[in-house]
Amino acid sequence: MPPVNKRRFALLLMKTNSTFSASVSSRGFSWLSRLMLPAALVLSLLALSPNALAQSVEFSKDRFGDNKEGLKEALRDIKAGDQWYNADPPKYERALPNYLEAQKFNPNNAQLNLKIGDCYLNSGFKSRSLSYLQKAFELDAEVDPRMHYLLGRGLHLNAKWAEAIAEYKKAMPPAGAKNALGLQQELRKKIAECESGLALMKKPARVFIDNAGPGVNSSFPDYSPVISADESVILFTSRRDNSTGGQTEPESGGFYEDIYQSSRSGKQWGAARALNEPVNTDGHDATVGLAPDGQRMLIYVENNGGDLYECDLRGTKWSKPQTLGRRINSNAHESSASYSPDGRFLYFVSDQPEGSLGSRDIYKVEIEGKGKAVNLGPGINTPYGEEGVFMHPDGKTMYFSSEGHNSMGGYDIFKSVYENGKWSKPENLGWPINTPDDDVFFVISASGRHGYYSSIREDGQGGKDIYQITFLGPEKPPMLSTEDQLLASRVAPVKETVLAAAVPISTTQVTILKGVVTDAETKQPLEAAIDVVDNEKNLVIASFRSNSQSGRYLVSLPSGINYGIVVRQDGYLFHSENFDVPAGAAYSEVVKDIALQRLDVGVKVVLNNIFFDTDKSTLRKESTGELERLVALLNETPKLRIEISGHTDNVGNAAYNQQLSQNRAKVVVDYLVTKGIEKGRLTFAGYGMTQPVAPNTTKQGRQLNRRTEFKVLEK
Amino acid sequence: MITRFTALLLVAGAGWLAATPAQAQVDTVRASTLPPAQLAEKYYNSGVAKFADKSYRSAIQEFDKALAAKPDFAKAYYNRATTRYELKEYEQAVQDYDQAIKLEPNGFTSYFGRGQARQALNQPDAAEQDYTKAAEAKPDYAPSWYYRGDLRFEKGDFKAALADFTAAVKADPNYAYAYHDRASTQRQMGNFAAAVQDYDQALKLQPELLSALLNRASAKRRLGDLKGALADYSAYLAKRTDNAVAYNNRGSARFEAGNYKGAVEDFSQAISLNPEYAFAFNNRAAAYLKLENYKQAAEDASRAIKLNGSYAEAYLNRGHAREMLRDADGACQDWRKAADLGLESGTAYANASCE
Repeated sequence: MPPVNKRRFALLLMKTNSTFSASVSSRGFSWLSRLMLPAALVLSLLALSPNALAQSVEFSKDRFGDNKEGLKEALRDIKAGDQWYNADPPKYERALPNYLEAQKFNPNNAQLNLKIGDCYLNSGFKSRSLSYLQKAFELDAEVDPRMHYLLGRGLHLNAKWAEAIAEYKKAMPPAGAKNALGLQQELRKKIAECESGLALMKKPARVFIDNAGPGVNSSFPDYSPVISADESVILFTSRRDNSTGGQTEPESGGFYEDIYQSSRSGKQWGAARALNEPVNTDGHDATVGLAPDGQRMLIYVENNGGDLYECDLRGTKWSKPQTLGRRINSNAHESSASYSPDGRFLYFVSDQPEGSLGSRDIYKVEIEGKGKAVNLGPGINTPYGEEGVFMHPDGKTMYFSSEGHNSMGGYDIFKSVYENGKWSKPENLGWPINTPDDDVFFVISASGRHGYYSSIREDGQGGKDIYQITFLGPEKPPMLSTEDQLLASRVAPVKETVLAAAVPISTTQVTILKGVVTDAETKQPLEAAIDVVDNEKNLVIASFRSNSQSGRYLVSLPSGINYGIVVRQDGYLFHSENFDVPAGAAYSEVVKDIALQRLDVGVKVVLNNIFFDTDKSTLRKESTGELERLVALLNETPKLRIEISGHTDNVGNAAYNQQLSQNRAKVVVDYLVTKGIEKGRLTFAGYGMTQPVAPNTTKQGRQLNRRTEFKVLEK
Repeated sequence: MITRFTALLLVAGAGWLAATPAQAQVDTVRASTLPPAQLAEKYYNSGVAKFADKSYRSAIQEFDKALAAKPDFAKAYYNRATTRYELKEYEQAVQDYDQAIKLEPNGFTSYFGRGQARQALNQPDAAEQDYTKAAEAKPDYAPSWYYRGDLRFEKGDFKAALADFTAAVKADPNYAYAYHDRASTQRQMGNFAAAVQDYDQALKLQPELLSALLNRASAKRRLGDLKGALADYSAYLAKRTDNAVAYNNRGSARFEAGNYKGAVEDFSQAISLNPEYAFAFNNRAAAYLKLENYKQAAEDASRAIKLNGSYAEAYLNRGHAREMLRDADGACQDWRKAADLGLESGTAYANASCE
């Protein structure tokens, strides 16, 4: 079984083994046969009239004496299928082709119908199980002691909630029967899932679910998509016949997993190509997570019970994956992870027993820290499995899958927001995103408009495919117009001004800042360090690098902070930008290309993170970081002589503006002097409104013109 | 339903018919008491008789002769003015009223009549002044208040309109139109319960005043009494089936009640009565949206837009339909257009869903 499937199903199988055996043999079901017999008898009696003719047809010479060859072949198929079916663990999907062949010869054998139904229940096409299970029951109500349970599963997986509940209730063992407690618990859980499904389906999520298209999907399984915050890049896992090494896995017969990458071109995804070594190897290589800027990737490797690795994008090449270390990777199974937007924390999934609330749980850990990973607690983690964690670039909205909460079956995708020190009650993303089957490994764009996950659907290119979910938001109410003839003596009607209140639109609260860093002179892309600074706290929150090949960078700035963005590279003057993103600010995407200038005489740099009180020349404390950078620059370059200049927009009196700008420049110089910079290296000037860098006709232009600058006089 | 003011020929001694909205007066002089020499009066009375026969042209000729015989014959000016009003010769009517007022500055009838003529000439401010004079001269003459109330209503000065209608029903407690229009004023001021009460009163006084039924329905809708509203609409439509506005309104009430199929039927009926009725197309688009028939919704909204190129609501609704039809670009265009035309929600939708 491939690792991803194993990640998903290992637990499920273990659990079912402890309650219902995954194989059709009646081991451990003596209680059930005792329970079932009378009920089944009653049922078959009740069903006698319409189904009087339905009777299981045996694969025997009595019935098929006229086609001995066909019979022989069918029996051979059944035997071959049984070998897979009865293997430990059973290989349901491999048994299916043989069974279906035999089914063609004789479609009316209860046992074979049951086995096909059971195989489908344990395959990627679970919903196909139902018709076979129903037929098996019709042909022989007593064909299997688990009949009602299996019918319940088949109905459940076809979202026939009420009928599934009825079958689950029939499967309920009497109190005191062997293993009754565990079985009752499991059935009650399934019934609760159906009830959740019933409720959720009544209010479907307003989404479009579209196949991600031929650029991404193939006739082979494609799954586990991860995206950059701006949806410009998608990476995913696929098991194609051109797999690195070209080998197939002996157990499943499928090709080994490889990681593929595609870039957006317009509204489509371009043709995906496999990553090269060292990321893709002969074995399984699967995508787990991608940093918002697409420069850092998390992957899953089968070592040590399943571990998480990470690698960096250097230019166009991914580095050799490195393990995330013992604080994250235990001997148990680590299967999914996501970076916080500042890249400092990792949310990950592990089934390590210590501190677990049951099965797989989600943990948080500071990557460069020393502390132990922390379980996210009972608000998120349940006694059932949690999987597929994804932290949104806003840094507070987490998407994850869980078998608990109000799942409608298997894993469902949930959303929870970290606010006021705690996680909000997880919200089921609802039908039709979630289904009775497993829905896992969901990621969402920074804008919140598009999500991606994999699913098996009828419109697919084959096997599992990657789907894009478009979130439409709450229903948009239509607007009506009416009018009335309000004056008895007038003919003209008066239009009513009934306006439906606009619905609040919830957009994500994050600003995506992206662009290309270049050398100002050569215009060539430049690799540079990008520091994200909290101006208020004078603290570097996160550091990123622009891509060495493309110069591209992307930082996600959750709302609620006055950000300084500092771009630096050795041999260049630093460049600073200011983004004040107030709390509650809705999603926006800002493209800002940055040209770094070499340290040369005459070069001017705007100090965007120096702030003054309005109409005054007192430095605000948020300016500290920028001033310290300036001090550092002067200390690093002892021969550097600079002029600090103040500039204003054209609002107000020219003489006043000149004086104000000069005072402000002087305050900066004074500050530098108090920090030990020799006075002779610094001059100041106030240019008032005489040197605009943008037209004063717009608000933005005026803002650009109000600035503090430094100019290199000597180096 | 809408009764235009009718000029009523009054033989001396006749009074107002209270229930009619307004009566201009055409004075007469008792013929039996005429001295033989009173030629002007004779012509005058002949003119009055012709007026009563609706032979307005002939009536004018008689009043002309009367005025030729007696140039200061104020009543003849007044009656000629009233006759000209009937002939829709409003400017000349105003001139004659001017003469009548000049000769008899204290009479209220000429002011009222001139107010009517000026209103017909679309000079609401001048008309309002005339009604004010008439009301001052004779406060118990209800129509002066009523007509001034309507003008003030149309100006959007609902408070003043309310006072006028109240004065009208005080002067004439059986004045159904005044109750009706006071109800409408209450409604515009957001006093829906008071509006329903006044419409009730108007209907009590004049059951055939069907617009009261229609308007009461709308007021009930605003009160959240959908059931009552639907009953009123249906009562109206049982009596009159030729009013597209009524179908459009019942359709909207049905929409509010969640009966989208019924709403579509009503809007379709409105459209068949008035194929140029943009509101009905827009509203049917809204109902189709709810029925998830997005193609029809988009088509109807387009029809509404074709009829009225600056119909913000129709753009908004078509945007919704196009979104569901997977025409994201078209939807965004429509929402932005709706926003340009003044619907703020258009901006919100565009911000949330458009690139």
